[in-house]
Amino acid sequence: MAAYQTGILQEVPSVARYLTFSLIAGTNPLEPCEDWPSRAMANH
Amino acid sequence: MIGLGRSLLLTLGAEISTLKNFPVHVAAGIEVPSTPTALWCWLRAEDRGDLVHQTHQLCDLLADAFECESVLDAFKHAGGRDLTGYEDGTENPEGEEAINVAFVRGEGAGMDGSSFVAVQTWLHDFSLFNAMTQEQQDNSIGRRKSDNEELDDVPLSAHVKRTAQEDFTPEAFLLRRSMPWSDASGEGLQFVAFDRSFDSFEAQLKRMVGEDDGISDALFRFTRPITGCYFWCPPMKAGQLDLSALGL
Repeated sequence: MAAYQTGILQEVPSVARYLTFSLIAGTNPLEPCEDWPSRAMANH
Repeated sequence: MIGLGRSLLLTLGAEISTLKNFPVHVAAGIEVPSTPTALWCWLRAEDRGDLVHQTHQLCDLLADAFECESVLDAFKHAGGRDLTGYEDGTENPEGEEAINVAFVRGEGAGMDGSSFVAVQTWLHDFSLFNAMTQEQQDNSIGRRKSDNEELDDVPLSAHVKRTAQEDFTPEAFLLRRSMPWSDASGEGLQFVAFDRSFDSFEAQLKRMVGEDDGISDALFRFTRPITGCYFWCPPMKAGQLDLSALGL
């Protein structure tokens, strides 16, 4: 089995926060920081 | 956890065929909206203050290309129950079965280990719910609130009847990770369900709104979804998100 985001299998925590983000028009999400998805993961 | 929306994938010039638009449903007195967005993050903690600091870090990190659209705080209640006192996810698969339900496999590197998540914010109306008798509440859910036991003789509109996972062909199993939420605007349930595709979720949702037999889920008598989004949760590789399926 390939590695997955382990939080999916974990029981729900005591507290949680859901955030949604929209793209800022005219920006390329890859330009500011090519590895933002992994850095975002590392930050929580 | 992180989920990527279809608009983000398209901006990146990529597409995951299973990641489609969240379906809109309209039935008598029922509206199920679709509210697509680019990126979904689920922060988890034992300390609420940690969530505040993580949010600042995340927003700063993404600020050049993303705008934070919504923040919803959720919490565990009564050992894992919804604010109505009933449990969401009683029939959740566990162990190897949960892995089989939630994660893609057999589609190759970059896709295997990924998951698809359906997210809906449900807004409860407690003036309506609290006006119901205990029997009416139990019949709406199909379970006895006191001990969470499924009731034998309940109306076809009962939520457990509408969404009995093994009653679908093929069986419609989901891995649910829902949590109660509350803020100044109201309170309800943040419904979160992971799946290898969206087939199980869509089969259940159609039955809930009565598309199959004209009988809608009794849940709609006291709660309604105010958002509806689909996201693709990429797999991991060497401790980082594996975005190779997007050509990255």
